[in-house]
Amino acid sequence: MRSCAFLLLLLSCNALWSQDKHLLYNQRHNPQALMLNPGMAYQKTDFHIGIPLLSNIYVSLGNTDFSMDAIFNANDINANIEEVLDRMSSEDFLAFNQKLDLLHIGWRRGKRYYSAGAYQEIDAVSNFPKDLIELAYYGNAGQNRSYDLGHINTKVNTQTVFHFGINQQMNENLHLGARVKLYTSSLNARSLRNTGRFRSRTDETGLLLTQTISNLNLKFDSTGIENADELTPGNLLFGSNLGLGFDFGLSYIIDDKLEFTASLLDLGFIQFSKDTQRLTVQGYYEYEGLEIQFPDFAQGGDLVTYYQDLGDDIEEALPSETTSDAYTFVQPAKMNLGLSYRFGSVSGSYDCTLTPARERFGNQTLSLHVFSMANAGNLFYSINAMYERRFWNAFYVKASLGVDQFNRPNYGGGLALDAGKVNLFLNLDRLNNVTNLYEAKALAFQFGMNLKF
Amino acid sequence: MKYAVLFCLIILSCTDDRPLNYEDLEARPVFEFNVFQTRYSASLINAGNQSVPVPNSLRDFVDLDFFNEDFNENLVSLEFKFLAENSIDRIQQLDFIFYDANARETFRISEPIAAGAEGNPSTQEFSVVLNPLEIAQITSSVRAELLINQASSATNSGEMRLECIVEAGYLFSAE
Repeated sequence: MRSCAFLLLLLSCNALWSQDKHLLYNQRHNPQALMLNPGMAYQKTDFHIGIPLLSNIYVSLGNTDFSMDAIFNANDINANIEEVLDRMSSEDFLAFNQKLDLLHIGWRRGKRYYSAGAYQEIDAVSNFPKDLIELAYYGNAGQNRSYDLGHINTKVNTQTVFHFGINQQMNENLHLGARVKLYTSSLNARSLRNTGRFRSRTDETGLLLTQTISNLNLKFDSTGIENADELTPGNLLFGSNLGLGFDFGLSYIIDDKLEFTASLLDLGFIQFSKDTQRLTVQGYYEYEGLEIQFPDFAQGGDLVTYYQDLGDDIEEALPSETTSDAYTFVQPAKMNLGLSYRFGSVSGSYDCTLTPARERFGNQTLSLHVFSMANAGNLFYSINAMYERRFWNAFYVKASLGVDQFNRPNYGGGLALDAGKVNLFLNLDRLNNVTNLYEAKALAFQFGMNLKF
Repeated sequence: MKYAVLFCLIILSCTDDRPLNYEDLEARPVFEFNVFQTRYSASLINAGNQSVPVPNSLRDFVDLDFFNEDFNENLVSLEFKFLAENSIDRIQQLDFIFYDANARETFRISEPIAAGAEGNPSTQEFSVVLNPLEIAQITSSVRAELLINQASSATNSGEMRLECIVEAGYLFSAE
C-alpha cells in the first residue's frame, strides 16, 4: 500500500519530467556543467574527477495532468478520477528520466580542456491515450462517439553513453566546445505516429451499432523486449546497438559583466539492429454482429464456427506484420540559451590561475535561461531567471524563478560548495509546494560530488 | 541509487497526514456491442432447416468460448436488447438458449414476435436484464442456440429481421 501510494506520488509530481537543468547550467566552478554546455567558460583547473556513481545523479518523474491532491482529498476518489480524466488531454504525458554518472574525468592541455566519461540513462515519455483510457474506464455504452487510437504515443530508451569532449578558449571572450557521444543500448521501445479510429455509434435505421475501426496504422518497434528476462546487468550497461551523437556549445563574454551562452545537446541517433521487432497493424474493419445463417443440417450442413470466422475476418481486415528489421532511434535534442550579468564585489582572495579573469568582476550573477527539447512529439520548454551569490569564495547559493508550460511561476534553489579540491552541489527545482508534496505540482532533484585539482 | 533518491525526497519534503486510501476506487465500464443479426424469409421457415423434429422451425448454434474469459469474473450487469421486424403472417416464437459444457441449459430468452404482413410488418423491441444469479449461470455457458419456430406454415411471403446487441457492465475495484 505504501509503496503504491509513493509510486502514485512520484507519478503525480507534475512536470518532474523535464530534463531542464537550469540550476546547474553555466556553473563555471562545476565540471558537471560541461555536460550541459561543452563550450562553457569552465574554471581553469588542471584535472577533475567525479566520484564514481556520485558525481551526478539526476531523477525526474511526473506527469502534466494531475497531482496527488487531485486524487486523494476530501471528495470521493472516483469523482476525483473522473475530474482528472475530464481535464486530461491527449497532449498530456507521463515522463521519467534518470541519469547516473558512472565515470567522469577532465584534464587541461594547453588552452584546451578535455573531458571524458560514461553515464547511464533511462528516458521514457508516454502521452496519455485519453480516448482509450476513457473507453476502458467508462466503456462505450451510451457514449455514441469515436475513439482516437492515434493517441498511443510512447517511447522508452535505456542507454549507456560514452563521451569525449573538448573545450577551448578561443580568445579572451570566446569559448567553444564540442562533445562526441557513443550511445549503446539493449532496451528500447517506441510507438509513435499512429493513426486509427474506433467508432461506436447508434444507427438510426436499426438496433445494431455502427462499430468500425478505420484508418488503422499502428506501429510498435522494440529492441530487447521479447527476451528482456534474458538481459543481464552487463547487457543493460553495455548495449549491443550503437549510435553516435554530438553536443555543441559556446560562451561569449560580451564585456566584464555580460556573458552569452548556448548549447545544443544530443544531436544523435542509435541504430537498432540486434534483437529488434517491428510490428505494424493496418486496415479497416466494420463489425455488424454475427450473421446467423441457419445452415441446412439435414442436408449435411456443418455448424458455422462464427467466432472463429470472426477472428479470421478481423485478421484479414486488420493484417499485422512483424519483422526484425533495423530502425533508427533519434535522440531527443536539447537546446540551452543563457544570458548572465555579473556584478557585486569580489569576496576573499583569488587564485588567478584557477579563476577566469572575467569572473573576478563580481560575486553575484543575474541570469536568464531558456531550455527546449522535443521528445516523442512533445515540446518541453522553460524560461528561468536566476540569482546566484558566492560567499567566501567557496559557497554558492542560487535561486530561480521561472515559467514553463505548466508551472507559473516555478521556484528553484541550489547550493554548491567549492572548497579545496571538493565540489559538491545540490539543486532542487519546482519548490512551489515542497512543504507538502501531495499538493506539489513538481519537484526535481540533482546531486553531485566531484574533485578538482 | 534509488534509495538515495527516495531518502532525499523524503527528508527534503513534507506531506500532510491525509489518508492515502484507495480501497473505494472503482471502475464501472459498460460496453455495448453487436451480437448477431439475421434475416430469413417465410419460405425458409416454412421449410425449416430440418434440424429438429419441430415443423416450421429454424435453429442455429454459436460457440461462446469468450464467456469463460477471466474478465467476465467482473461482470455485474448484462442486458440483451432485441429488435424484431416481422412481415410473416405467423407469430414467430424466438428462443435464445444458452448451454454449459455438459449441454445443460443455463439460461433462456423466450419472446413471441407478433405476426405481420408485407408492407405492414410488426416491429418489436424488447430487452432482457439478467440478475446476478442469471449472470453467474450464463457465464458458464459455452454454446448458444437460436431457435425460431411458428405454429404452422405461413404463406410464402414476408420475412423476419432480427437484431441483437448486448450491454455488459463490469466492476473493477481496488479492494
